[in-house]
Amino acid sequence: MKKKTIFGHWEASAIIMNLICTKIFLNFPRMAVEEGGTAAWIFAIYIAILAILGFTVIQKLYKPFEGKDLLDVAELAAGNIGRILVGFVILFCLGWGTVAYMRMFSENMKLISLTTSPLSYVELYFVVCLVTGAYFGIEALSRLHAFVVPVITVGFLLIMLGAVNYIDPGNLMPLLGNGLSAIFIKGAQKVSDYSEILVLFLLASFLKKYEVMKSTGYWSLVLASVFLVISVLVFSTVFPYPSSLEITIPIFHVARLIKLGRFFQRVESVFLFIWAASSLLYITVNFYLILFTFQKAFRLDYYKPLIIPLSIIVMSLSFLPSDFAEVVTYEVELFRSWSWVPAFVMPILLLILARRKHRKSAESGGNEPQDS
Amino acid sequence: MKTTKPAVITRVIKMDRGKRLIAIIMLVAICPLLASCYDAREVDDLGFVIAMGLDRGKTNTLRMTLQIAKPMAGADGGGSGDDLPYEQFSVEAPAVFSGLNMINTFASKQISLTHLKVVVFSSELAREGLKPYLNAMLRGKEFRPNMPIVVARHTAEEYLQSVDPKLVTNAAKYYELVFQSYKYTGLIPKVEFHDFYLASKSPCRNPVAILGDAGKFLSAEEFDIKNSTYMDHHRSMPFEGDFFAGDIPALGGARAGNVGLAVFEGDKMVGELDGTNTTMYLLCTGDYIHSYWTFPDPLAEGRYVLMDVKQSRKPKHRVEFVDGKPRIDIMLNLEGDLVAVQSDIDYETGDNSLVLESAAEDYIKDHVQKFLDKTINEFQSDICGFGAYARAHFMTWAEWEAYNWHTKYKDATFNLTVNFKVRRPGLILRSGTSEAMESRRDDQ
Repeated sequence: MKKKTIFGHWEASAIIMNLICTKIFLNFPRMAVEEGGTAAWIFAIYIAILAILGFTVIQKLYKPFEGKDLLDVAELAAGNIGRILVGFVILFCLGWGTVAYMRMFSENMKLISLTTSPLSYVELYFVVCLVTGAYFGIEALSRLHAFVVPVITVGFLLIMLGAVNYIDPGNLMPLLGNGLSAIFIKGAQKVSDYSEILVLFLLASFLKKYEVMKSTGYWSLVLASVFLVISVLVFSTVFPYPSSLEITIPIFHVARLIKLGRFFQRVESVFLFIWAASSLLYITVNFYLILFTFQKAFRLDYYKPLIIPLSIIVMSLSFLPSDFAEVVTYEVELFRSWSWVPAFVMPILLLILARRKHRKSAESGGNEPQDS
Repeated sequence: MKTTKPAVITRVIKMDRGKRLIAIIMLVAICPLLASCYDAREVDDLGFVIAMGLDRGKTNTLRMTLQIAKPMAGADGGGSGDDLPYEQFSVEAPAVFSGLNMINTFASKQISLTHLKVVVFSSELAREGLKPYLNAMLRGKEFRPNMPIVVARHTAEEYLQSVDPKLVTNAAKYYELVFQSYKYTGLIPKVEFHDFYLASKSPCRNPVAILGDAGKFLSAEEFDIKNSTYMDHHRSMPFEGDFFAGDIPALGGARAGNVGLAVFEGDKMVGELDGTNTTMYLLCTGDYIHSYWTFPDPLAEGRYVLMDVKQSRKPKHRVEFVDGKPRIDIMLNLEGDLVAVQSDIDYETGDNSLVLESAAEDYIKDHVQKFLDKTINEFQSDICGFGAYARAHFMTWAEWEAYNWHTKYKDATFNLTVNFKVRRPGLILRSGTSEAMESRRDDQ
């Protein structure tokens, strides 16, 4: 009998945290400055609150569906068609995340470290990692996250602390930056930066208990928002607005500044290490979840035969955008403006539908699912 | 006899086919890592630039001068006699990176800027505007954000040529140390490329650069003080900061010297300040650490009291708006340790101490006020960054931008408060005690 994979609260929290926080190393601090100006930190706190509120609604609706992932819920709500449609939406979100991040990580890596290596060569490392990760499966990946994510966190906090000499709190003035409407109305759609919370609803079947899923959601969201806000605060106090808008890789620039005496400098090597670790984990988990969703949506017995073909497709798709700026535009202006719909609205609608069905089936004598 | 296989081999044999395949894939994937990659560069194959100078070219837009370290010259026992620890290259090119290409054609090693310690611009180039070169430095990943920015009063090439470090054998170390002298002289500003670039684009402050030049005196007979600024400071003879770079009557060490600062408005240089005004600049920005000061003795004309002056607390700034014009309050908190009292008057305790403190406060206040007036009347450039404090009065960025601080700074007024305390008397606790006792004995 096949052993059922179950992992704990910390492993799942580490996965979600890394998925949400990886964008710190890419473009989140600059994007926050674009939205909020000198009030980027208010904007970062605001979208964190929105994400936590969104999750609160979802987890309350999730209560009767303990141990079921979003695809199971979709099936309960709308049958096979519902499961397949939701599968497609999730595949699109995860697929875009994998393709876009693979291209962005590789381009940035080329920009700052492997300048003369061909892009395909850089991407090959990512492909090897995601193939290996997919072969080992979610249990190995979750255990890996459990001890690598704390190392990444320590590295990140060291960089933030090291930049303390360059911090000027005056750079946070004027207090309301780009204005109330830019932050609270236009900025609200950027709650999409937390759209990786969608993964938690896919991991629900591995977490088993509703309580574990609930605490994992809150812990990962709160910790991720703390790190996102710290990154924005440090970045916008070190680089004053509007010069901060020019910077490609914000935290890399912060790390480059750190110089404690003549001997402790060039801390960007720490950044490179944690950045590479975080991005490899991000892409690997995303890729595994693509396979998982595909398998579950189409009720396949095995997912391993899909690994090599899908990895080739992912790598090929990542070459489609003509340049780095194009990927950033699609990611920031399109995906991160609308991914709140599949991440927050879709689960809410599915759960409401599934609850209604459940109530109807209970009235007609059905007994599944159980309200805990 | 039965032989037992090692545990690892037994484990590999026992692996199923899938896992064995994964192990092989992983081993193959590691191979390229072991064979290095496209970006591998041997340290020995690279020529590390330690200083870069940019002047207006004769045949092209730029004349670029590079000092490239000779690694053995800086090592113990390496180098011979008067050999310089670097080699200097000059080329005329349309831009920085095209110049690098050109130098790479005749330098035997590939040029690398990853260890660049300083960038020197000629004042001619600085007055035309540095925007095109700053952009290249921000974009190019080899330029470090911590490198100091120097403006040479004549040419950058001449400045770099006159760098001949005598006290250190490693030229890179020379550059690292010489631009740290603001910490103990107060005669040059603290400037890093990062600050310079941000200030050049900022709507609330303007940048400064270190003022440098090749020393103009080759022998003691040539010494003169005609370019000193002592008369501007109403003194009968020059104090240590009353010079611009290159004008100090001095010999020995590297001929290149750094005193004063270059004032910018945006990316364009608009003037120079001498060493004394640079100290006032450091006091106002809070970057001042400590240095020796020469104060006129308040109780003995023609004599001086020397003190090691420190910043006891960071300066406090507040900007208010009176009839739409900025009024800037600055509070400086300083303390001094007595180093020398030429008159031998007892300034350590009692009323004399208060007299000295009050005189020092007036002296500093007068100099800071003159410096601030200069930034308004002569340069109209907020190099101290008071605009950053004015921002707090605005709620949104749009309102702040509409106020246009750079055009309003010229209307600013200042309200200065200086608190000065004599803290330590040095190794003499009571000046003139023995003389006083002697005269008392004579009276008896």
